[in-house]
Amino acid sequence: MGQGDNVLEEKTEKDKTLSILLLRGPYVSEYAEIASKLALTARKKGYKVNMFLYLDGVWLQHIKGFKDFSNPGDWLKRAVRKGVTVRACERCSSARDLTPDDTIKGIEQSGLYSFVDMLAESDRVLTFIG
Amino acid sequence: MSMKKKIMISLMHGTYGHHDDCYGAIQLANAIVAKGGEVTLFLRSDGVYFAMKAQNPTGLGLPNNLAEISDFLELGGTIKVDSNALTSRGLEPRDLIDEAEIMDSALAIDLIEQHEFCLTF
Repeated sequence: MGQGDNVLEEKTEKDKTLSILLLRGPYVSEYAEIASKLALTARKKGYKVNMFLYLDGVWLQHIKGFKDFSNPGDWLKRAVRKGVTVRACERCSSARDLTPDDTIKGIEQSGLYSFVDMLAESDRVLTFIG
Repeated sequence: MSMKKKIMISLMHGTYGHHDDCYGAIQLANAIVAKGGEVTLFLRSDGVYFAMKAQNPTGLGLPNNLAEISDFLELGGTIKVDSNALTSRGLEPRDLIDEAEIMDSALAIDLIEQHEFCLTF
């Protein structure tokens, strides 16, 4: 290996993947909103970003309507529009009667293994829990 | 996609009757080890209750965590318990399942360094 080759092999933000695990729903705390905003910021920096909504975190996909106050669902919609891959735990959603028809478009409900796949490709992982 | 990473899951909440964090954590831990990853469950704070030997939630109508823990251990998972969290709750090692390894709190940073990711529940 020649001088500088190691530099070429280093990943930049554009090659890196950040995965976010959200475990709490909206409004009970600011975490749902903070997670979505962080996902957007990371996208702007060039990261590939995944979000997995797990346990009560799945409620975030349900916040679809207009609010004249803080709207964490809007931030999640923006994240989806900007290319953040968002998945919601299918079992947790089903337990809370959250059907795909009743949630923000562009969010797939999938099994826990899809989060394991996200972990496998990640350079950084953040958990949001209150 | 196979999973080759070492993941630490720090479990800090008690089990049964309020949050489903413990159940969610062990479900995820089992999914990771089933796909070939290595997982250490680190029980801290109220999370130490997760490994109680005599737990029985039958009256609550909830699944018993011990069944999931058994699967986790069979698949090669490791459980470590913060010694301070245990003693401050009046619990002793003999109250926990035999496979739980008691660990000095001061070694938590070493545990973090041994893993690629740390997830908190």
